[in-house]
Amino acid sequence: MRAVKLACSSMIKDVYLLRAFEAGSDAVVVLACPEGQCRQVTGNLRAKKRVARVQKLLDEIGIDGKRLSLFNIAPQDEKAVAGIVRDTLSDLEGLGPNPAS
Amino acid sequence: MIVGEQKPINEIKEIVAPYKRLLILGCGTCVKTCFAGGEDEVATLASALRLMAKKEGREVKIEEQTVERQCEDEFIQEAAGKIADSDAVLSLACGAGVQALARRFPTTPVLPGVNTTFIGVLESQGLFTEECSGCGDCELAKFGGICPITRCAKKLLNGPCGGSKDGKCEINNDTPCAWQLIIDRLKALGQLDNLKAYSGPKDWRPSNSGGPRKLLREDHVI
Repeated sequence: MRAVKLACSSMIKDVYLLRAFEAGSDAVVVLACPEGQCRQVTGNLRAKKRVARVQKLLDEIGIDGKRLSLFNIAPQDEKAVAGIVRDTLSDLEGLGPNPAS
Repeated sequence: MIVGEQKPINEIKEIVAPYKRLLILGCGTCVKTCFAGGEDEVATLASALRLMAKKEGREVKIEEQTVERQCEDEFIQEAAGKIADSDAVLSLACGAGVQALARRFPTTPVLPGVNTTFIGVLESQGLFTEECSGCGDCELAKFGGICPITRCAKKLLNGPCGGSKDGKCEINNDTPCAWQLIIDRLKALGQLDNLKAYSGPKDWRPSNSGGPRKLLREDHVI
């Protein structure tokens, strides 16, 4: 598992998500601040739109958009993060490894 | 600006299928601003095509480059090196850029990755609207800056058809009636009298209907 920290979820470009899959990731999780609490006001809304767009692209290229997800969590909420990681790993048992790895 | 939309990924995949060494060439002007073919879109598309190839066990080498404008030789030449090392170029420029590239590099297949659609503007966040048909004989002064050739579905020049409802076109009720807009604008400008002058049948010769057009500026030829 690898974590990449950014100043705001809106700094994520579509291509970064795809490159994570190119590098062999089976799943990618984006963690963003709760809606309405973004310090940049709409940063997490932009991230949500981009993630949705890449999910659709992943479906079109046959990688399965379910491998990419976005969750809104309060900063420093380690319990939420642990739950998300656990659920993602569990979902991966059904999805299998990245078909492009 | 010229507005276009990137082709669906599966159509692009078919277009580039025969080629093992591909250059995806973006354009930093019109197609960048409508999110069809700038450097971000080049990167995303390259990554998506690589993922598809990996998934299908195909070997393909995809290079990426973006130039300022693909309709200008001095910028196109910057891609010469990468083009020489490629079996084909997938251009994300508008149709003019694709053809300019093809003309300058006639021994390399140049493929289109974008469907070029219209001359338009960014009307509001994320929304591009068609404004100009390039008819070659602009009468926007008479019509208060709203073009009935482009924005009236029937291209009427002498007033509304009467089919509009609540200011929307009878052909598509998402489209504002251009004549409603023209009348409202001319009223605001105090120029409603402009419409008293009859507009005769349009001379379409300056438009594309007479074949591809040229503009020669002798004063710029040395």
